[in-house]
Amino acid sequence: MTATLLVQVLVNGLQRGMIFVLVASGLVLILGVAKIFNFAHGEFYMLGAYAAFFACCIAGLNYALGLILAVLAIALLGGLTYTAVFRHIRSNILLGAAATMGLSLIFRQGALVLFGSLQKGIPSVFPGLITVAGISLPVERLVIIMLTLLIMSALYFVLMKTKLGKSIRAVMADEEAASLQGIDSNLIYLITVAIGCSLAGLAGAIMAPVYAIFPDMGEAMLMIVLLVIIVGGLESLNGAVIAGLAAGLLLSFGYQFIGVYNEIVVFLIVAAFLLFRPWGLFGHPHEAGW
Amino acid sequence: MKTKRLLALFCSFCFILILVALPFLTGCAPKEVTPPAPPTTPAPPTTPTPPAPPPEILKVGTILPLNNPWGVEADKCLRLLFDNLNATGGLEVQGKKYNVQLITYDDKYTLDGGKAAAERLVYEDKVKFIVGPLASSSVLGIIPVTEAEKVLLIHSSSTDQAFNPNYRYTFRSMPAKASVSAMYTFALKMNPNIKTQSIVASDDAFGHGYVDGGHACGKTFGITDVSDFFYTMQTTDFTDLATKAASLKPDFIFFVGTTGTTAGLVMKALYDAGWHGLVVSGSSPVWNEIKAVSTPEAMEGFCYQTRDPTVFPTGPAKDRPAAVELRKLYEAKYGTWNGVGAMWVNSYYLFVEAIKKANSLDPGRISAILGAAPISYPTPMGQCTTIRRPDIGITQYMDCLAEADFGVVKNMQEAYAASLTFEEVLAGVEMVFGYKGEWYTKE
Repeated sequence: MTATLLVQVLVNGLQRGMIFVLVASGLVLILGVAKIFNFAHGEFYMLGAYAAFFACCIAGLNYALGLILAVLAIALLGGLTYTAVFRHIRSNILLGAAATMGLSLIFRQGALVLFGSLQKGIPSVFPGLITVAGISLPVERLVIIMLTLLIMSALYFVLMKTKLGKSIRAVMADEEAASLQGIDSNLIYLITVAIGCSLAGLAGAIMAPVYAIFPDMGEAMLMIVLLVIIVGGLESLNGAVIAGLAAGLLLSFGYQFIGVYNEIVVFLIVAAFLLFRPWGLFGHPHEAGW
Repeated sequence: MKTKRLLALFCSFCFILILVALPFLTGCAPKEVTPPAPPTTPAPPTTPTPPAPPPEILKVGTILPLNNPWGVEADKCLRLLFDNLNATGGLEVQGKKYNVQLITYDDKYTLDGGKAAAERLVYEDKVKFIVGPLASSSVLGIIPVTEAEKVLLIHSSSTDQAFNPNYRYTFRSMPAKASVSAMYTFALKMNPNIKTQSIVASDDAFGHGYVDGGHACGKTFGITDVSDFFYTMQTTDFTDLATKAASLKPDFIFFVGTTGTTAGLVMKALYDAGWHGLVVSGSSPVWNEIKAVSTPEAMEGFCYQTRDPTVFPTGPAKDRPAAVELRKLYEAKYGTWNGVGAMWVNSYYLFVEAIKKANSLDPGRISAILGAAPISYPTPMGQCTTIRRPDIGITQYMDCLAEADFGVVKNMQEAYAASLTFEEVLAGVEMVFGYKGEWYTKE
């Protein structure tokens, strides 16, 4: 492998991994705080991409504004979903799984009916290549890496340094104790679901100018993100970050050596985790029922 | 207290957002289609004559992947052509006029979907003719039904598995694997120094058919295969594929695409990976899709065989009346022409030509006439001619070849590059696949 190829694959893997991290963090937040396994999470990713498409290509707004509107729209949808569905089934993990699977179908078929099956796209916002030490790299992917780094830093700051973040962590650790401290846990659940869904929507909106947009695009994303959180630990944000990046890099480097069989390697690793460490890298045995 | 204020803030924000989002939502609602005005009744003739008997209805089926832009556009264009045929007098068989009623079913690009749709057409709708299926997998599901029930099938798929010496009712109206040699003839015109190649193709019967053709061409023209890359229909992330393909540095990439979006994404990924070599595609670019996902820099120099010569400001359009007519019909009904449907309507032209020639609606008679001698029929891509397939033991005229027009992208515009006549295309086929003189005998 030449140095050029190595750097290119590294950048590709990091960019893909950062997107996995964004989507997986949302899923982990919702699972960790609201105790809902959101099988419709991939659809929030898809809807984020469509929201950006409509804002940029139909309404003619600039991409930055489109991105913000898409995030807000998906946050709103997440909040509404919590109020209408999640709130009522929150304590029952099986019921929650069934309900979110139903939601996933509704969102996907709804998108198919509303937007059609034809793929759509947003023209590249950062076209062109940048040459560093003789190695050409796409500007678009470097921007995505930096943008997602910024977003993850902001999320970390909110969770660790703000009152809202402390409330979220308190509810995550012990709902009853948090309530005794005057924290409105229902409001925290609502906000957490809105933030979690908006992270998926944001990832979709970021990727909209890179790939094509279509109703089934969330399916593959959910699949890989599920694997990421199994490896990282179901309720661990740190785990989502490490496993997300690892998955992105593994898929990109794997393709160069074994082609399309790279996904099998990821599945094998997940299978190994399920056998020998089902609570993942940063999870706790009780999360995996141990 | 603070949390309540936060909740109130969130609710107000949501309300404002709904107000902002409303215009977008109404903007993306499906547009109402105004039904076409009923045809005006002509004024009665001044001298009383017995009214002509109304034309009979001839049911014709089509099976298309309506979950794919190709299928949607093919359906639109086939419908336009049959409607136009009906409006200009319909099909005449033994002095009797027939208006064609086109029945479309969705195969979802699958074998099972194709089989189910064929059974519905044959057993429920009682059709004797199926034209236009384009998905290879679907066609493989359709053939067992149509051959068993003696239904004439004129398809546009690219798989050679659709041929069998025992088949009698199955014909292909769209040049496929055999015509790959034309693309290589063109590629070598663009760059005579091609020594190595990579083929990027969809991982289905369609893609594998073209890859086989590409390998045969490579062998004939002394081009070494570096590596082949396959992708699934749902793939939108071509980053890894393109990075690997670019790192192998082939002189030429033969791209077998399935949609304009795919072509745009592959070209963009190749550009991002630092690839700036020659890419020749077997499919016309679909600009509205390509522009949505790719960039002018990435598309620069993209070479392709076009099925829609009307896109070139100069070139062979004047010699392709079927293309000009189809575009006119399309623009009159749908406004902007995107050229996709032009790829998939050859079956209409062969069907009409075959009925004319047979002067019969008996699928057996029509099939016998089609198989026995070459038929030349005008299509948007130029004059098409039926051929035999000696390379796979087909001694009847069941496949076809056509003239070929090529274009190259310059500044995100299509520019005419070259054309090959039927004879030149046939010569290329004979050079690559052998069997000189057995593909076609001039009548």
